[in-house]
Amino acid sequence: MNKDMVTIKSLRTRRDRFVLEVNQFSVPPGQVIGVVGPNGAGKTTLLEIIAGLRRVDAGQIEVFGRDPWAHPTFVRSSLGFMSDDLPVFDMRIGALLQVVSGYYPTWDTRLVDRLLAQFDLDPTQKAQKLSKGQGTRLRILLALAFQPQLLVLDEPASGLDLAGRRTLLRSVLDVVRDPTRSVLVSSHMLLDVQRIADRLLVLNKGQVVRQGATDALVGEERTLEEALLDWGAAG
Amino acid sequence: MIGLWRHFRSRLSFCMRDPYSLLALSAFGAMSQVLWPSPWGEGVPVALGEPGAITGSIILLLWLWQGTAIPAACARGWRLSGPVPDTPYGHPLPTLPVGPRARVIGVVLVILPFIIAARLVHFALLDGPGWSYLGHSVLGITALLPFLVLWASPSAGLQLQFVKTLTAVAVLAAAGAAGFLSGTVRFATTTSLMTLGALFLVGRRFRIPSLIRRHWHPIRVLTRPGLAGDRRFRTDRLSLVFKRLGWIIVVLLIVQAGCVVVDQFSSLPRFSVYICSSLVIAELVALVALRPFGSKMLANGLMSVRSARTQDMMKAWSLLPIRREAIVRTIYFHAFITTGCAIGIAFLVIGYYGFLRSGEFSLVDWDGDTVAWLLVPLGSFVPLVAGAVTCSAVGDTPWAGLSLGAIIALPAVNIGGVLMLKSAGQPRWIATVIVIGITLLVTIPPLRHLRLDRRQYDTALQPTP
Repeated sequence: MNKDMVTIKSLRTRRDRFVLEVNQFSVPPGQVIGVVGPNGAGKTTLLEIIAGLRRVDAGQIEVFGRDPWAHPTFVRSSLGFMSDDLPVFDMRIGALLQVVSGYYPTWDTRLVDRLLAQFDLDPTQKAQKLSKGQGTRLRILLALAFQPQLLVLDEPASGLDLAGRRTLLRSVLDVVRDPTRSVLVSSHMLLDVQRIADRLLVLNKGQVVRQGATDALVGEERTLEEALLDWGAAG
Repeated sequence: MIGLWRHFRSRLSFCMRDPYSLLALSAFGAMSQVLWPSPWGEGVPVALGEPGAITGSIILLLWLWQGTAIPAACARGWRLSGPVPDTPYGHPLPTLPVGPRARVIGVVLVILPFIIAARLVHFALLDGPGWSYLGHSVLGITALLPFLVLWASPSAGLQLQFVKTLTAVAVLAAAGAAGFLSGTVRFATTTSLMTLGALFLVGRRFRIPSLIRRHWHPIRVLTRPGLAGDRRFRTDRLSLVFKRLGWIIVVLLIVQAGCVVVDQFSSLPRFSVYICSSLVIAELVALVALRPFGSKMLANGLMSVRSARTQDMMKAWSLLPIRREAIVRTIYFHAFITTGCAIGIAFLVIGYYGFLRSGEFSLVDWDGDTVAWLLVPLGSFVPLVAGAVTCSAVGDTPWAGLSLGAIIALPAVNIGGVLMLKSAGQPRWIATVIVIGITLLVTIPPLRHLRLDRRQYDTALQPTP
């Protein structure tokens, strides 16, 4: 039995002229992995592949021991994916939560109530009428609500105010308090990533520039932003 | 005035350069020949104190109401990234220094030359001066203006656009019943006042009260029992649309039944009741078939090519633990079955009104010939709507557009073909064969989206030992 939640070997995928190549990558349980890099580096593509939303052209990817594209039902039962671009159903928040909750036996009602209060979301509001920040909060709530084993967050902090970001960071740290659960997060909020990530995966133009423990890669004297500039992965 | 002129000029130049807009507006102008007196026939008479004038007006205006969907063509080229506007007539680029009334008048002025050109061409073909034809042309345009203004002014939602224009139909019908349309001066005065009223309303925000919805849909429980993804999906695909839209469907069916009852016991013009029935059926199709799972993402997607390309419906479902092909198949069969049911109701309604006219359930035209051939496109709508909806859901924009085009074009192809063949003494089934052929050509390719993607299962990895 493979202990790593995600295992990638010689992955290659092409989208128009963009090619993403990841030779070796894994997500062990109980860790926060930060995926960083400039715009167009391939962060979203990689996270979508892991969530089973995009298929690969070559190589191997396993999430919980199975190909996420071939076994979406199995993988997504334990994987929460959040992206700002992804649409949500055009319903009131309460109705939306009711519909989505039916798909997860692990749905945590108490957590949902707590997050609704923390994120200041009204269940009678229509999902399509929410502001950008509120929409982000709702998507994060949906990804967290069923207590996924692997939480994949693509730019979760964009559009969030300070209170929202604090709640998000606290929720992420709550997840990895359970040693069987992990978080994979891509963000341009480099200070936040540096604070919470145990390991980093640095991408640039579809190639892995660096990967390893955050402390070892960044060091104590510089920030992640400075490190990215040094590695030529700042855009 | 400068803003109005700039807006008019930019819209007109875009429409003249865009083949779709040019075709759509030319067709709209040419259609006026059918609606009020033309060189080739009486058309539907504009109400001028003639017998049956009120019925004629209602038919005319309902036709115009449908025809005024053309301003959508005037919004082409403006759709940018970002959320889908409230309505297809929503103001694009709201930051432009052009006032709301100037925008509306600009759009209306783009449409009018096409009508005037079509009328003038036919005026030139008339034998003799044909001053009454010119007079009817002017009056027809004055009747058209309030509807064009109302359609071109954006609302908080598509439903409100329908409510606004239908209210104008009711106002004009009431004016006709009260005698305000009998006589040229009265007719022109009434319609002009309505146009001014419509212009006065531009930019004012109205909302359909949501009291009923709140009362009917209290959100008390935010969860339901969690099941395995596929198992939950099996129940949701049957029940979710009725859970979310059930009461609207019930109201529409009550309206439909009311039409039948009213028709039995009142002296209302029969054709207006028939039109009401048709609208209810159209609303049922739009409401249910285009909203699988009770979500209007697909209906939004079909409003513009760009929205269809975003595959919002599939993306929204893709995060839940469900197989992709299960979602696509559900969307297809949902659209297929609901459209089939709606078309079935339409057949029954048409049969019923045919029965009232002839005493038999056989459907015949004014010459006593069967009109069954004319109904073939209704049957074609079932796979066409299902294909359009599915292609829109999966982002197959070309076939979604082609299917929608076929839905719009087939009735014209069929009716035109049947009438031409009838006048030429040829068998009318030839037109039906053509329609079926086009339907098959357009409806078979979308079925590929329903196939199980075998490759993904062949390449599925075994758990690592």
